[in-house]
Amino acid sequence: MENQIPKEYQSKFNSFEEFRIYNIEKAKKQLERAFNKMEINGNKDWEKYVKRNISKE
Amino acid sequence: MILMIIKKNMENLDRDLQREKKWILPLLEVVKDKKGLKHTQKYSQIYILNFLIEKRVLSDSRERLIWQLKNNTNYTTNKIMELIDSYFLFKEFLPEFNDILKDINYEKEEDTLPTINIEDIDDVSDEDMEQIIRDLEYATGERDTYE
Repeated sequence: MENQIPKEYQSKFNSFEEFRIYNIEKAKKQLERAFNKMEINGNKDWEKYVKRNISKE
Repeated sequence: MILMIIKKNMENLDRDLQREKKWILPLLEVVKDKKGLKHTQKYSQIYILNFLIEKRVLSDSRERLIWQLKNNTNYTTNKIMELIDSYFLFKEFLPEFNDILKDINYEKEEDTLPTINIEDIDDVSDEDMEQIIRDLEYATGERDTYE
């Protein structure tokens, strides 16, 4: 049941795998927006911060 | 009685976590694209934790978060504390998902969450009821400290 394409999408996809990949790509595009926004706002360098804090310890 | 209500909360949280599973793989793929494989392997749990907190599946209060992770994962206390410490340390470097939550049907999903039916609760003393309310307030985030 879990691996079935929902009715409304059944005409668009030949297999559940196709449907699964489509959903992953769709989700990635939505999530990328949050990361892109972070870059636009000036992404701070995480790795440098980690090194700085570790060297303080 | 208290256990029954806490169990219901746990079931809700478990269901929420199951529902969010579909976002975890895409999330980690985006992290890998943006930050590289090494970074993803090292910090994947922090990104997942951040996403679940942003989606309000998990609490953003340190105390409640510890409680939720203790009751819903098989992590040791040390592992939980390490993860939570790292999350709060790196919070400013993590993406904010607030703007995209509407697009991913967060509000619609939240509307469908079942609520506790008062008829399921047996007769209890005033003292027990106060304790239940305290537990619920703590579990749902309305109360900051657990007494």
